[in-house]
Amino acid sequence: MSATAQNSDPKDAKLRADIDRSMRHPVMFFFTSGALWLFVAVLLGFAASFKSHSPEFLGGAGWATTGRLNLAHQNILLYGWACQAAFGAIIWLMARLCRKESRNSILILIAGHLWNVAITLGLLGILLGASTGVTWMAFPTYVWPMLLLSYILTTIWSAIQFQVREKGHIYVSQWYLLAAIIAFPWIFFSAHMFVFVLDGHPLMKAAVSEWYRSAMLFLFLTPVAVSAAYYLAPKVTGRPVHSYHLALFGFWSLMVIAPWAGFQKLAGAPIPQWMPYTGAAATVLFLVPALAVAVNILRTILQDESGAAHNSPSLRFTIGGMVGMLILGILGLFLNTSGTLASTQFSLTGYGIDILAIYGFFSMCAFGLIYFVVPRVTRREWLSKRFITSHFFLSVYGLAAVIVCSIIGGLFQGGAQNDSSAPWEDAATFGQAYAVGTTLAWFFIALANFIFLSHLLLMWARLGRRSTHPTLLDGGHHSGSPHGPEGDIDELQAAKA
Amino acid sequence: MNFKTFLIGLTAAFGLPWVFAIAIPYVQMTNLEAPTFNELQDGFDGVYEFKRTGRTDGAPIYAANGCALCHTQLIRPSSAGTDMYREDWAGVPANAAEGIEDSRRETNPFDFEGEKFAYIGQGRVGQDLSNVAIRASRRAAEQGITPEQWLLNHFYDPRDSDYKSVCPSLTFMFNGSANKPKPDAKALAAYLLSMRKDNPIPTSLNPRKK
Repeated sequence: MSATAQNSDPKDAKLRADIDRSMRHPVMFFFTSGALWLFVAVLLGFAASFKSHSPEFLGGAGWATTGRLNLAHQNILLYGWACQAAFGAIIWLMARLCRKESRNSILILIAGHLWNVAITLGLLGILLGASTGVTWMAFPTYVWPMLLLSYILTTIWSAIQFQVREKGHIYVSQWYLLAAIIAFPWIFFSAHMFVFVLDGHPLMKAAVSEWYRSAMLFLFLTPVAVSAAYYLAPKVTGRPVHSYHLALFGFWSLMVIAPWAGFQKLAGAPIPQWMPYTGAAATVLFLVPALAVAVNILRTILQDESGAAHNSPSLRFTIGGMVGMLILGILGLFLNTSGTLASTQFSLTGYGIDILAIYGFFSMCAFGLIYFVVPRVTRREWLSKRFITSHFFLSVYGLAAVIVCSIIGGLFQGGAQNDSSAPWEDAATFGQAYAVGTTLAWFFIALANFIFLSHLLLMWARLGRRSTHPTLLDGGHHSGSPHGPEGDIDELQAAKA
Repeated sequence: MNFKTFLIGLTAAFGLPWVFAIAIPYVQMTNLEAPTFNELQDGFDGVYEFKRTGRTDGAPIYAANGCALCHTQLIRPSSAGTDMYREDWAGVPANAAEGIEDSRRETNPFDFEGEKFAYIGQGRVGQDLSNVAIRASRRAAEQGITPEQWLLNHFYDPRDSDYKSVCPSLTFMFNGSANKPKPDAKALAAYLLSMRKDNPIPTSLNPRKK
């Protein structure tokens, strides 16, 4: 698909503008409230991390217990930010790719509010001591049916749009979107049933909860992030995707491998023995789809000679996300071999991998899409390239520090834990210097997201620049923009006429 | 690729692991058959039943305060880690002088009797708690107090004992002093005191003696 050819047709531009207008409120709602929760999650992460080396921080109140703060942090990061960013991405991308206006924006908006009410109740529940304590299902049990209902009301329209679209080419992005739309309710509903409703063995409940985490990462957040990357890379560079076959291979290998992952967290637990091994193998094999996707996207972007990769904020973040995905795949390979698993299973590394997956991979792709979508739905351009570059670099510094600290610290800590002749104090103290590093890193990430949130809120209030020139990163004056002439649609049409 | 093949492929890709790795093991584990002692290997016949000494109604408090983020409840077999050999983790090692037999053993599926969810745990910032009752009793005996009181003191100020623990103080579960616990603290202490998983088990359940 050639972006420039599409952009030059005023009828097409009108359709795209109409789709964007119909999606404006729900998309902006999901992105801005997601960014707000992200900021809350990062602050909670900072506090939890601070308490992990200085337990007297914030005093001895119940809500400020390390465990509650940490559960709140992880769940708000996942449900408050990542899921909402994914919803915004799904509904906008599907509408654009099916070329259908949204007719249910009000309902989606109501569903979005329901989601946020549920998250708020969940957060209060965790902090006030009603958490279930299951790592990524920590909200009190009355919250999950609300989340499921809200999810269905939000995304069912995207599935319908796909059904009623004019037949023709199905884009790579659409496969991933459909997979995510179908995977979420399946994973979410069955996992919550198994863990909270059905009367099963406590160990299998634990196993399902670990499978759920990995499935949320690999079968919901990953497809959405990859979908955004497959949309942005060709769209912004104006080049076709590097290899269609590689895309096909990357998609199916992910779908076949990922649903088996997750049980390695229970290595050594008395569940059927093949389960942790299969989980570890699947997590190692995640490198295959990660390589296929990242190579395909990065080649599409980097072979472009127009300088789009350098100028476009969307591509900058997409490249970051793809590098994150590669690192995630490579670390999965090294950390899940039988030699390292014994020492990393209960060390800091697991947390580092979660943050790498949610922030370093998914969120970077989501930021890329947000920087692309928001100017289109609000019809205003981003205010400051400096805000965008600071958001990028502070995020990268923070991320690198969280990941390096938790991987290296985790390996030291895990090694000491597993040395049964050394005193336990060794393992306990080895992790601490790295915990301080992690706290510092959360500070950088908090700063990055404060900038992002402020910028996004200004855009939400429609205080963005009224211009047809998109905000680019290199600051030079451009005759043509890599995003195509997609500024004020009324002016464009007037000029054509 | 048309939409129909896409859906079939997707359903197969999700469905297979869901059935074989989730649904089937879930049902199997729900209907676990109790293992039996037998005359030849164990010296007597009978059905094994894990009896917890103590209440487990503190489990929701353990869960809600995120204890499982830093504490595990799992003694892995030596193929998967060295938990068996760390002092006081898996049980009490043999002591011929005092006539004590080796009680160390791995965690088995029956150890979570009476619990709604097995808090295997996310990390080991603190120690494994599978046999915390053994440690609490020993520490309590050294100080001449009850094991329950030792645990309550430890909740109130985790840095009271030998090393610089980063465990949060649970002062909000007390009325101003370690001697005045609220019901939550008592339930949590009772839950931890029920953690003693070194009772004799049938040889058929114990891979170390096969």
